[in-house]
Amino acid sequence: MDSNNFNFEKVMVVDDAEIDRFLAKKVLTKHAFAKEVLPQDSAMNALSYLSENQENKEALPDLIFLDINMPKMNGFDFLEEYKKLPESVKKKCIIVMLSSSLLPEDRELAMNNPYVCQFLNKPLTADKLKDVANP
Amino acid sequence: MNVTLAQLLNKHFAGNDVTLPSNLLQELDMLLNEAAVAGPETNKDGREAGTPEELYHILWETLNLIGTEASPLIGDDETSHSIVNAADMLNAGCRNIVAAEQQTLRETVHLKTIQSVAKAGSWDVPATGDLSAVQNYWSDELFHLLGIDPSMTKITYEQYIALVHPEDRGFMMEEVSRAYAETGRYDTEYRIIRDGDIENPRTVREIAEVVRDELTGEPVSLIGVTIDITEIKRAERAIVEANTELRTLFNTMNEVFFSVNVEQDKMLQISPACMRLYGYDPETFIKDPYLWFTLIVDEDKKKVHESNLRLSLGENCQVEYRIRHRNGQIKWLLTRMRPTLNVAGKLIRIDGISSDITERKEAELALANSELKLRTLLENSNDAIVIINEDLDYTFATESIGRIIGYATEEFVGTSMLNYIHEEDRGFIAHSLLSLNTKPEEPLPFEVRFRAKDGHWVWLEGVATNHIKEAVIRGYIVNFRDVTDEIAYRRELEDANDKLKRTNTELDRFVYSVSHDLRAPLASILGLIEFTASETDDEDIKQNLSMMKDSIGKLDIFILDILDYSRNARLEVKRTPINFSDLLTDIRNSLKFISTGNSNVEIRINIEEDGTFCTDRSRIIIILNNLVSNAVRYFDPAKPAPYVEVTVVARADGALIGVRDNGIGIHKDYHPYIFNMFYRVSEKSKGSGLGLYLVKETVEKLNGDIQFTSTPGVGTEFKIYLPNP
Repeated sequence: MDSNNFNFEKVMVVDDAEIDRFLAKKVLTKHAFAKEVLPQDSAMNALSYLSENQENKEALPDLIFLDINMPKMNGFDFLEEYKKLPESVKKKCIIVMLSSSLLPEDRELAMNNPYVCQFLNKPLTADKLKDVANP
Repeated sequence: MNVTLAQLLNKHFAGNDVTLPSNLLQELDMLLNEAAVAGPETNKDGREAGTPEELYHILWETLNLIGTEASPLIGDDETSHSIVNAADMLNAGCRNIVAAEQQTLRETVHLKTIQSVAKAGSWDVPATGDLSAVQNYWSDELFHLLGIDPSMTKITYEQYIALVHPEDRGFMMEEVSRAYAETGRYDTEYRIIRDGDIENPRTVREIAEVVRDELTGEPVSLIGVTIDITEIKRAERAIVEANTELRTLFNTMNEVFFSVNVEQDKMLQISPACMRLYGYDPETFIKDPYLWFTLIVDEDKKKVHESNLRLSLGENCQVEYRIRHRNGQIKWLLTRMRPTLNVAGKLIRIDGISSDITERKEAELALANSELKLRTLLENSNDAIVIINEDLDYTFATESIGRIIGYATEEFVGTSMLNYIHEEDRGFIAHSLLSLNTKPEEPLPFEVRFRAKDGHWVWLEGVATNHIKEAVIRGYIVNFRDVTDEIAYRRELEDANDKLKRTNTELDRFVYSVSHDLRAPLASILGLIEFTASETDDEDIKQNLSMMKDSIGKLDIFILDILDYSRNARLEVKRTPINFSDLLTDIRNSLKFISTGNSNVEIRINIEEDGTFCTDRSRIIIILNNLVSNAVRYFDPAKPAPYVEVTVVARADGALIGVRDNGIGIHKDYHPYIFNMFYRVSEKSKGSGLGLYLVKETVEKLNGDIQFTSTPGVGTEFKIYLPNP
């Protein structure tokens, strides 16, 4: 695996399941996908982070792995709120849905969202990372 | 008397020098003589005599003259007496002449009247061959008959002939000449054209006789009578025609006329229509006088027999009964009969007429049947029919309302509809009836609460139609039935349905969350396993991890299948145009990520589509996903180039989908079971046992058909047909 293919500075992982955040961090680190992984345990916290750092380009992630099924605010709710963030944020961040859902409706809904560029099924593997880097 | 007068005169003038010239005396004598016997025969000898008045006058003058001249000479009483006597006698004689003349006049009038009444004219023509000769005598009636003014007193033979109908002239003249030549008389009929009206000729009968000279035997004249028989002829013709018509009627009418001699049990006559009515001809009936009774169907014989009893009492009667036609057909007859009794009151003859009333009878029976049927239907129906007039009073109700709302029709009819309708429904009813008036042709369905006789509310459901304009109805026809139970049931059903819908939604959520919640940890474990495997070089650990991975893969597929099953069973078929190329690309890509995907199996795709085929996209994904992943999963490792080939031909009339592989194949012993739920061919099977079951269910849900062939070691091919709805 050639780590040089990946040149993401910061990658955010939004997932309520600790094991998935853990795994994502492991995989991303192992394959040097990003220099820094920002795990977020809820959509609200993720939004707060983005909102707080909207002027701080350095702190904003290049890519966000977004889970769908989360308590209180799910992935789609997150996208609704994300829409309201300033262009500076939205321009910087690429959103990839990472879900265990195989429902065609979920995939369709996600792909119809202008901020979502990919839909991946869990688990996150090295092959899938390649797809994200070279879509 | 004339002698007396001569003697008287002689005696009177005897011894007197005044002598009367002898020729005067003689003439006087003759005149008197004639006067005394004067009558119609006066001019029998053809001599001109003048009128009796003239004669009388001459004589009177003469006698007066004699008297005056004689008296100074003779002067004695006796002589003058004699003259007066003579004058009286003359007077009497003259009176005779007048009486005779009046008699003649009376006879002439009498003759004229007779001729006029008889429409008979008499005539007398000279027997000359001369066409321009005029007639000797024509009675006025003859003129009248010919339509000629009697003042045109003379008419020539030629003119007469011109009045005869052109077609009749020939034989008429022939008759005349034959009478002259041989027969001496004729009696013939011909037509006369009156006033040039050839369309309405008068028919006359002419009887004539030739009068011959007594000495020479030569024809002198022709005397005849011409009688107008036009009316008689017309009457005769009418009689003949009527008779013919009657005969025709008798022969051709559908009714059978008959006369029976009761005393001798003899059919006197029966009209030929019996052939049609009974299938037997009149001869057969006459030969067998009891045939008519034999042909009556047994049930009706009594009825006919009873009518015979009435006939014997002298009453006219009519009876309806059935007979069996010779061809076996049953016919209804109506027979009207008139009896004739003899002086002793005994029935001797029956005249009758029988008509075929089968059609009417059948129609009557049909009507009666349908009426009965209708009434029975109405009375026994669970539906009731009522009529409501414009004032919203009931004017009619079927008995069946008793069963529905408990009222008898007598107590119901005449009351107002509003008494019974639930007040919450009155607005609706008033509104509805109003709309019925604006759109009379539209039937109006309704559902209202109605107070039954026992006070409880009954739900009625029905239809009202506007027949206000129809004279017989003059109102709204409303038919309804009790739907209280149905409504209760429907309420329950609606409630149950609501509950079910809720349950279904809950189940839906449940299945979704279960599948997700089960899958999420699996995916996490899978990720960790893969990560761990990549972190170690220990082969034992790697193998253990691989087995764990397989196991989790199985569980994952099972969850996916259950999810698909639930979706197929529950979701409506939603048809959209299908792009198989995109769809199969997606499937191929997703297979890569579904853990069991074997990258060694080549997936070949052949698609022929024009974009017109529509079906449920998510279902077609279920089908193709399962078939393709099965083919990949059960590839044959012994084959150098394992493949699965998907062939799709999709058009507007449907889609044919083939999925063929060169995998391990299925033994034919298992073929009958492969579509069964949770069936797995062997313990080596990696799936849930739901895949093919799900495929079949889904194909059926789309009204399609699935077939397959499979040979172990060769491969398997599934063929699916899906219709384009």
